[in-house]
Amino acid sequence: MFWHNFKYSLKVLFKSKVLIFWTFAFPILMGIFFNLAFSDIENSEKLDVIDIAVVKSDEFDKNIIFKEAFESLSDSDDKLFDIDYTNLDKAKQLLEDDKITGYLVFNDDINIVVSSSGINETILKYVVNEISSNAEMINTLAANDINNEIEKGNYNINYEEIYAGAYALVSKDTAKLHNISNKNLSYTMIEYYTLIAMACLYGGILSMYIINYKLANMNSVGKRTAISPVHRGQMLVSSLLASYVVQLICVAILFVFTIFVLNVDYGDNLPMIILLALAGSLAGLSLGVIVATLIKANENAKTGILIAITMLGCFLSGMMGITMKYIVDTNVPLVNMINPASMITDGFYALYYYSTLDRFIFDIVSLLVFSILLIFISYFGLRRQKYDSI
Amino acid sequence: MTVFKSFWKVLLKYKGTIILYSMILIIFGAINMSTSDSSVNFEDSKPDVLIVNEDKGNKVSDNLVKYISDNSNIINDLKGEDEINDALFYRNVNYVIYIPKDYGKDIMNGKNPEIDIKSTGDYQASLAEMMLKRYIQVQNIYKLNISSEDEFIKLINNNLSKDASVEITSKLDTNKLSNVSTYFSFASYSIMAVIIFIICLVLSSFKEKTINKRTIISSMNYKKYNRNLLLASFGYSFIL
Repeated sequence: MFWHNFKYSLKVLFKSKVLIFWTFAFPILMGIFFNLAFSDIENSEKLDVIDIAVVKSDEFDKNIIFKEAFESLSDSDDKLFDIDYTNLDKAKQLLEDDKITGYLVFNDDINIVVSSSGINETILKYVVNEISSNAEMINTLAANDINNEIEKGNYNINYEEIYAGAYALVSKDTAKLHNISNKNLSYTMIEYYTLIAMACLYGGILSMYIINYKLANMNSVGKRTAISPVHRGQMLVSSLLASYVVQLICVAILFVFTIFVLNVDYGDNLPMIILLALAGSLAGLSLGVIVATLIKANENAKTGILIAITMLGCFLSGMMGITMKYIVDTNVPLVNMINPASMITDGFYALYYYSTLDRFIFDIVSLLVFSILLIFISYFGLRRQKYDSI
Repeated sequence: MTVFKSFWKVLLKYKGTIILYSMILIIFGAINMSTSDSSVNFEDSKPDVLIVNEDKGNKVSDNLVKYISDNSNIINDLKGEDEINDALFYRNVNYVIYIPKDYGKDIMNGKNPEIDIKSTGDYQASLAEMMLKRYIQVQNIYKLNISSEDEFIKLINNNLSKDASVEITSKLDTNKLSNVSTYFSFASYSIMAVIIFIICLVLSSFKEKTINKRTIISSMNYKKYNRNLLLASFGYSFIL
């Protein structure tokens, strides 16, 4: 009887077009839209070549340090600037047309002209300051060397050599920085993780549907099954197992789609990814069961409540704004500790970003406790239900 | 015309909802506008930097911290490596600098100690790295000939105090522009929400079973009926 009911529950679930749309097609559509919206967002935040202009003048030609510095900053493969050496009118026009970030005018001082405040403008100003301070250092070092030569009694000084030595010393990059940041820093991944969380929790619609199907106060099939000589527990477990299988198929399809089509990175630990998908789907199933069991309303109202809970959970875990999860985690961590969508999202985040499994295991345990608790409550809601009148 | 008029009659029933959404729109707009500061002068962009200083109390290390603090927004309410990593991932921090123990002492002894950093790799992080590199560069040059800590720090600070003059050509208040753009980003949600919500409510009332039956048997051409509804819906959206 168990497998008989399992088989027919599968058939019922697969034949419902609405269920198939919300659990199979909707997350994939969302994934496509996410990809369209976020695919290039992080690349645009990286430091790119900045277009600037330098107004040609005698002062600029005489300023060897600036001239050479700008040449080296615009010549190499990892150049910082694209420089247009031009006259003042053309520079003004380029700035007005928004084709350059700013232009430099060399008089007695160096004047930077920009159209607005911003990061590129700040970098330009910063580079100019840096070259000025380098120039001062070169002069100081050269003056020291010249004094040393004079003190030694050497009056036949090779100024060019001294300045070249000082220039080489100042130009040499001596900062020893060791980057220890994690390479997996793509924050848009959170969007896709919330998508998987949503798909897992939307699976609750399947379990809710199948439980409603078996409830005598919800439909005629339920009435017929309620009076049949079949063990109720066995029938419910086989139905829920069927909904769990459908849910897992849906999550698996979404995984395949996001990995191979959208290039989403879930980390390298495949067994743990599968474990999280299983636990997340179980949480979705238990959520559907509790809504079906405890809420006494028609099917549409129950679906509405389930979707509202899911969407609120996904919102708090960062679906509608990636930083929302961080804001909730840092200010009201309790909210996300009881939010299944956040547990699933955080689990994927832990696998992607952290090298240890402590945080991931905490998320898995939280999901299992959440699921067991809801199933336990639903069990007491479902057992020994009697109807005086239907 | 009957259909067109009916649309507006039904719409008026929902004036409460329309007013509510409009109020939200105006209130958020007002909040945005009230927080705007006028700014037509050049303002440096400041990255969010976290400094983990293991060499507190040393003048050389403290001077590095002071220089970075003066040129960036210092984040200092994070405890533990996990919190730092989370803040970095969610871009609450752009750059993390770990100043090692005995850093200042090593510098004064002529060494060039390595500094661990964490970076988000974006524009702001690049700016923070430029700052740090510039400081270390100046420090490494001046340490060659100086033995007194105070004189060393004074030379570094004098060199780094150079600030080029920046002229800004736009007379537009960039802060205001940014607020306006934030306002309209938010407003688009409210406008979309109120249009979809109200039009769905009104059109669904036309689709009520009894009303729909009466419409079907009426002499009005269904194309004209739909055109009137479309026109009224567009009119409402346009007014909103």
